[in-house]
Amino acid sequence: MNIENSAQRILSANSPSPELLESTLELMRETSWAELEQAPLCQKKKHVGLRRLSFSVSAVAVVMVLLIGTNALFPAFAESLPFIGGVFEAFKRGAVSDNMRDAQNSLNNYAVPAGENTVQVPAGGLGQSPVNISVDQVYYDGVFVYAGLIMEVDGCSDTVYSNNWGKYYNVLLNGDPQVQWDEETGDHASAEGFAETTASGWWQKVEDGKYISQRGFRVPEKYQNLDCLDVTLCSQGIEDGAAGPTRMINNTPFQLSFAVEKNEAVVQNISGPLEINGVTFLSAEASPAGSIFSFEVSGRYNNPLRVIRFDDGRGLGDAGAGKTAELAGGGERQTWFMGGLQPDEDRKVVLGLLDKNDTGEYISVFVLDFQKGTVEAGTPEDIKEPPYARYVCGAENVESLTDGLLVSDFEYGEAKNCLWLLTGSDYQELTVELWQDGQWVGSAVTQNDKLHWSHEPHYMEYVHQNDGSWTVEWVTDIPLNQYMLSFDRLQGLDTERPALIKVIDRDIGEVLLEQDIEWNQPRHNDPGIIHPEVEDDITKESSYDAVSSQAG
Amino acid sequence: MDISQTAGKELSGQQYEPHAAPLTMDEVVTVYSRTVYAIALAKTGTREDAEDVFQEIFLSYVRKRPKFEDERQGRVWFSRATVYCCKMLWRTKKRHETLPMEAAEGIEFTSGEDRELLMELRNLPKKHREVLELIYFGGLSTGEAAKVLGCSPNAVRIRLSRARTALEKRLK
Repeated sequence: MNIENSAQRILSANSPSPELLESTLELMRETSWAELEQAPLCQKKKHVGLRRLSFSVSAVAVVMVLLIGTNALFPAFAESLPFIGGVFEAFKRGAVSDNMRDAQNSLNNYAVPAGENTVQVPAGGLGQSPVNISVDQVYYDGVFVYAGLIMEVDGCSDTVYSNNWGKYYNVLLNGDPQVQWDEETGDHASAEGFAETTASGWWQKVEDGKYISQRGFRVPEKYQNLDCLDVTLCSQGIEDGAAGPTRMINNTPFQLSFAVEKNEAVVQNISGPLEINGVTFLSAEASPAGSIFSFEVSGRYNNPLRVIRFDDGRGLGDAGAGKTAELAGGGERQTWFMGGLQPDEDRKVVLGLLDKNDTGEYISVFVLDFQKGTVEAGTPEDIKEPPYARYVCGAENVESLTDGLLVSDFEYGEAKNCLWLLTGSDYQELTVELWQDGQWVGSAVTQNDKLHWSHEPHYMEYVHQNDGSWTVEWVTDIPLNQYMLSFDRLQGLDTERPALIKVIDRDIGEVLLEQDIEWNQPRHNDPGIIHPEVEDDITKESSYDAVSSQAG
Repeated sequence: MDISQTAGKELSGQQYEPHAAPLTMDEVVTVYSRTVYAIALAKTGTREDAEDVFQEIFLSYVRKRPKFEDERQGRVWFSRATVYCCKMLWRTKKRHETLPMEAAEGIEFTSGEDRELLMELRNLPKKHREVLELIYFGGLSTGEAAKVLGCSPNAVRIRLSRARTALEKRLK
């Protein structure tokens, strides 16, 4: 194995997230201002997730530079896809939960064409490009508004963003601005009840010169459930951050206006308050396109971790934005945006606050029943693990394989899955299908690139011991080749029941392999797994302070 | 891989360019975020902890406002701070014994061998592990790693060679 390449692959797939960069910059600015004003700042560490406000231009600039590795993480992002249908149908969110996919499909199902509204934005300066922007599809369920945007511009990379930070950025509802720009602090403030539910102004490339994007908002009560709503999106411009310093594609501020009629999508509500151990549930709203959860956390807790899941452990999907507001008496109000809920969704939603920094126990658990519109106190047992299952074929089968095909490993999680297929032959165009009880569950195809086809197979399994523990066993120097495949979606896979893998030659349609799958591996964080002992890293104090004083 | 080729090579993707003017906060994050995050990820082994360390380091920078003559000096400062912060995090976790560190939790892997590498890296002796974390993940040159570790560049090269051998042996 090439250690350097392996390390680089890990880093490419694990860049700092845009939210992390944004929240870090925001904390830095807060700290800096507080020091300038000589005012004490609360030093409580704020977790990245609690600071997901809309993008600043500075964060966008950083993200543009750092997201060069995005292609490795979400290959679909970089693909030039044929743009057929509407924006909501084609827009990719990356590795997301089933529920988030349902929400995106719902958006597409309820959306209507926006009509002709193209805005031609002339180049703002030397080296800039003119752009044509239009609203393609719109959605308004009475609470949430979404707009699917199309942009045509030449000469840009795959990494294009809207500049949504500055005095020209705004959203007008029936002509009323929802965002206020503060020149002194260089910050935005939103109107009460207004929130942007999309995390970034990222544009997905769909063809050369053509990009699509999606914006979403929760509108204040005054603009809810109207027959028709006039919306104007105001932008600071468009930027390209493919490599090196951010390039301004077009810095001319522009506006996109559209009117949207309320659709028939059902919005469900749950109202509080319900207080448990210093955490007060306030409200929740869910439409098929998006959901919003609000609660207040007492200041006596040190940044508890919020968990919002269905009661079967599956995720709703993060919509990518969230808000916090400091409370006068200490503590903060948190608002989270998640994937939507379908009207017939009968699973309950469990909201828990985990005191991860102190006791390691759940402070409060709320069980939300959207069908009944109720919220009740729950217990930590109501918070289930996300679905997970893994099959391995057994080391002896790997070692005895000389020719043919063998599914050596299949790991299934909610947002991603990986299947490893060993072969004694050269690369072939194959389709792998997963079946359960005679029903097709999903398909994946082989790809001939470094990520998906390897001449250095690997195999690792946990071996169950008589005392109930699991030990780790590796097979190395396997004289075969290996495919790695991912299923785009596994429809209705039941991890409690066995499955069948079929491997099919794509050219002639012949089934080359049928292999039964029994889920026989523990969850990777199973306490029964015996890992090799890790050395205690704390052997002496660091010279950090000395270093910083030297550097300073 | 030839160790001599790696020594002194910039792996961070950021080309070294001395800059006389002080960097803005945005520029500081742009220049050093990769190094900080990569070292934190390798040392903590979990995405969540790496994110916590990441924020602590840049907040620490704002509070201390160290002045760097060039990017190399800055990278050494950020790397040392990250190493220290990870140690403190580890110590806190051990004291509270609340949430055990789950190796590779939240980390995306494109192949099983990458997961294996990260897990085996954690099983190496500290001397070996640190030099691999700084050079292969943090993208430091041997000279910069030497400053972080408080030893000579030659010592780093020797440790790197031994660490690589030890890791390869574990991965076989």
